[in-house]
Amino acid sequence: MNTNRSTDPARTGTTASPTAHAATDPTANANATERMHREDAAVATALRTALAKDAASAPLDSTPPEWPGPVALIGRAPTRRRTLVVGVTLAAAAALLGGLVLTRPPNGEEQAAGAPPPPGVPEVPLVDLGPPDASTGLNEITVAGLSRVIRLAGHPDMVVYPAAQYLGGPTLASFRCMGSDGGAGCAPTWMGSHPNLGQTSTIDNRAGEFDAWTWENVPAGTAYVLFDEGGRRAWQRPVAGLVAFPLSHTVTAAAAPSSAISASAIDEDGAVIATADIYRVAPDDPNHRYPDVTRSQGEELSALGRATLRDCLTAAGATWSGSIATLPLGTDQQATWDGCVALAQAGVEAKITEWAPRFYDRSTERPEVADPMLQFGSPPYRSNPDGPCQTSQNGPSELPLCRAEPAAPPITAP
Amino acid sequence: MLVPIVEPDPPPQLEHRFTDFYRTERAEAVRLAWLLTHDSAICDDIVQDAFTQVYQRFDRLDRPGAYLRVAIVNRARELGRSAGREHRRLRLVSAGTPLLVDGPHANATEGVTDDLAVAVARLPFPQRTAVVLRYWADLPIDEIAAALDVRPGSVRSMLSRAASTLRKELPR
Repeated sequence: MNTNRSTDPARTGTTASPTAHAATDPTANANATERMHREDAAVATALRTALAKDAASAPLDSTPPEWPGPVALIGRAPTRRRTLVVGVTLAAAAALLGGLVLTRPPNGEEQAAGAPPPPGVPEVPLVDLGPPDASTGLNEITVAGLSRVIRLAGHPDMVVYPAAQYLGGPTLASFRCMGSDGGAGCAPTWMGSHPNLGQTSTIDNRAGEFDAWTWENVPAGTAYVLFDEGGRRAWQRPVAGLVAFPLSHTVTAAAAPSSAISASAIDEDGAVIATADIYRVAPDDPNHRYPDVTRSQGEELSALGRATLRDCLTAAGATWSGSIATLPLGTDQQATWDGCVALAQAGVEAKITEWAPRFYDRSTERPEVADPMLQFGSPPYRSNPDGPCQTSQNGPSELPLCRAEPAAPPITAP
Repeated sequence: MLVPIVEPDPPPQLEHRFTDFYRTERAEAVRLAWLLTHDSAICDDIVQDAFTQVYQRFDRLDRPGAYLRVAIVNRARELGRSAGREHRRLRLVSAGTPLLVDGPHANATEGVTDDLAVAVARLPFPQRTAVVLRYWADLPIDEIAAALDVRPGSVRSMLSRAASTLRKELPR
């Protein structure tokens, strides 16, 4: 193979491209540019004509001329194409795989549709509005396949989603969040195994004019959750592993007796498989040693974590709607998200190691750098503006519970 | 999971506004879905799904028309990928003639007679979308970038690549 081919037209005697020639000849440059503009204008004109003609042949009668309403649309018959697609999918899957592969649904989505509701107890339905998109107003990077928008009658829509953020700890922290009405409350994933009833007013920046008791991470196999607030009972099927019950009256976690408010997860056989109440909350944060970094360093770590997450999800084939990644169908959503979070955590941890800051125990020590990332005692709890409070909820105490500070920045309203 | 479909009644004024919005935008929405897919069956799905998405957020959208366009583009891309997979599965099962070149709806030229329109329908999906939004919908580059969730520079680049492909179809 000849590797010494010259690209110089003067030497090779070949005809130069207009662009290459123009690089050395100003007149040719102007002519080439003029010709390209002329051609682009011709392409644009021809395209407008061709597309207008093509658009005129669109099948306008395929959609109803009047808005049929969302229920009619949800219940509409599948098109022939969908039927074909489903048929071919099944045939191909059967022929090629010879079996069926089942993936485990998210927590709480395995209940049978026919599970009997408790007699005499009203249902408070939670409506599943599907995955969020750019219009939901999330600013945090998350994955559509692991997130849902849900609606409780009379309340603003809520979005449940995974997130990973740098909040001052030894690395990026992984969260399960619920956002609504301009606020977001997030529970670290290490709290996931601890059943807990929270109030949206205390976890979502208190941005909303509403309040609800929520239980995230309802166990898999839950048919419905039976809620009891001082004798007022209601039931609900979980959506994306979450239930939310409206408050009947203004009651704060701090003021309510522990026995007054509880929720039970019931399986399809009617057995209680888990319970949650307002005092069975998380243990202390295991990551209590924090790097003493400045606010600007914290912002740098936050940006690094965000960029790594975005790049990693993009590399996994994600398409983006704002900050929300949609992974290709067939992708193991949770494994991909977890892998990208682990990668981002490693990057943030490496950067902190590079800076070699002092580490301190945030329960007993204070930061020493000027303009620290964290003020003493935060996150997740700051001092209670109402007076002394308890931050550990291992059992009832005479002190009221401290109000939780948001563990995530607020989401912006669309 | 079965969740009861309970749509709270929207305020009557909002419902009327959405009905008007649907009447105004329906035809253009169908035309956009058609130009992106050239498949009358999924065209219907795309438009109805997109309107349902807008309906769910109508009271919070400043520019529902722009949101509708993004929803149509996204749904066309998703359904195109599904269709592409089905064609590839068919090809695997039948071991026959390849049915599809790469990209959503890349072989979708059903009912297109103009050579240039056929060439547009054969462009890769992002380029096709950029061309349709630019030369049919007359959108500025920034809005196309928002609809495709890419940078404006990427849109210019897509349009430039598409133009050099399409130039070959122009009569000399």
